[in-house]
Amino acid sequence: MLNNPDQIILWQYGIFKINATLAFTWAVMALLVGGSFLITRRLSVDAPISRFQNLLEVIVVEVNKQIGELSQRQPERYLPLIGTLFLFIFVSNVLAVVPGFIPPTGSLSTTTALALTVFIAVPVYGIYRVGLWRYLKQYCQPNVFMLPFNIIGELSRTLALAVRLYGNIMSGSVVAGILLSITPLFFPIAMQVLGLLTGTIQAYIFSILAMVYIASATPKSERNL
Amino acid sequence: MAIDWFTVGAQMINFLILIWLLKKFLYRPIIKAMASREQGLVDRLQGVETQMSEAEQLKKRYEVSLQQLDSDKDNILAEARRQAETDRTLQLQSLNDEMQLKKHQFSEEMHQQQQELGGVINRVIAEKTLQLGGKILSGLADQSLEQQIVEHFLQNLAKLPDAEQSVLQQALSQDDTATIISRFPLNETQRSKIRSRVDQLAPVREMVFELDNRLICGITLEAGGRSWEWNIERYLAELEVELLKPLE
Repeated sequence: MLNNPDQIILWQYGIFKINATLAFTWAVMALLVGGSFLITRRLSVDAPISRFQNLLEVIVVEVNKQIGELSQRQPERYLPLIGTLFLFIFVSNVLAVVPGFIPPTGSLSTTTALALTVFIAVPVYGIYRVGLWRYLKQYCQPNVFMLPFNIIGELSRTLALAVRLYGNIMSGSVVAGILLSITPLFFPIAMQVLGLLTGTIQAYIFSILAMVYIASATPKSERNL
Repeated sequence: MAIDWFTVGAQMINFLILIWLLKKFLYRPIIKAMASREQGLVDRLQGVETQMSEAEQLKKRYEVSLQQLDSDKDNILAEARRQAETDRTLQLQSLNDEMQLKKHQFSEEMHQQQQELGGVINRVIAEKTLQLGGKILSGLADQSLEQQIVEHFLQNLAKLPDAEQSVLQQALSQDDTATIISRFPLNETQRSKIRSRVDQLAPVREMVFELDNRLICGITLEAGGRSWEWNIERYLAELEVELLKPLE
């Protein structure tokens, strides 16, 4: 009942293996990249523009807007990471309604990987922005005794990010599984619809939190548009 | 639930690849297209603003031109009115002058016609008077009027004042020829009378008798560049004045 896609091994050679998480991740990647490629190979600058191009432009503009509002900075630098986080999680969660599809975000490995990516991205952006010395100095603010607490805070933030997404997605699957055993006909469908909503919200929350972490890792004086 | 660290690593790599692919196939083309569109709109807006400013300038220029045209029109109209007024005044003046000239010419012609008419009347009256006088004189004394005129002329010569008589004598003696001019032909008796009378004043070598139709009724003696005459022109002149008075 608790479908952990990591445990569905499709191919294995030593430590190298292809499980359902990786396979469904590639499927989502193929869908995103293929769709983008098909839409953006014939972009029109002037009106009229196609519906799909319009959809992509709306997504990009809205993500940019959210990034700009949160970080008070030029959003172009953060768009690939934050936008990709949102799109990947959103598509994975939405595809959960497809029978047989197990969302990769339902795997703690995936959410951990995403959280670790954000965990690495935070200092990378911070160092890139203000330099290594000034970035490291932040951990000693307001004084050097706060260094361990700051490091613990950084780690716990990453852990919280990973578990939040995993918990939400997995809880949807678990609830659906339990309800399926109790009332097998109609109630699971309603839960699936609810799952779409929570999946979308989770994609949004994960992306927003990632942006907040990245933005907070940079001194406020450097936050200028 | 356990974490599969191989899957975690693989997913991180997958995610980085996905970032790179989406950056290449999604974000960059879309942002580029939007930037191009934005630039196009900016260019179009700038073009529109340029055209608007040009249109404004054109409008201002046309307004100035229209004002100029209105002003020119008023000036031209005022000038035309002034010119028309001047022309009218000049034409009126010209017509007035022409009228005055015509009036003057008419007066002149009238005066001339009056004079001509007076002359005609004089002649007619003189002729008629002569005829009448001749008839009367002929009826009364059985003498022709011409005879009376000659007699009267000779008497006048005799009655000349002394100074005048000496002038006459001097003229006759200076010139060899004395000329008697009359309107009508003189008979031999009249001629001899005249000759004898002239000879009394001063001997004359030759005496010529001539006729002149211009003399209305009278006789003239010419000698030494001077002349003595008697005719009824003086009387006729008085008569003319009397006759023409009512006409003027």
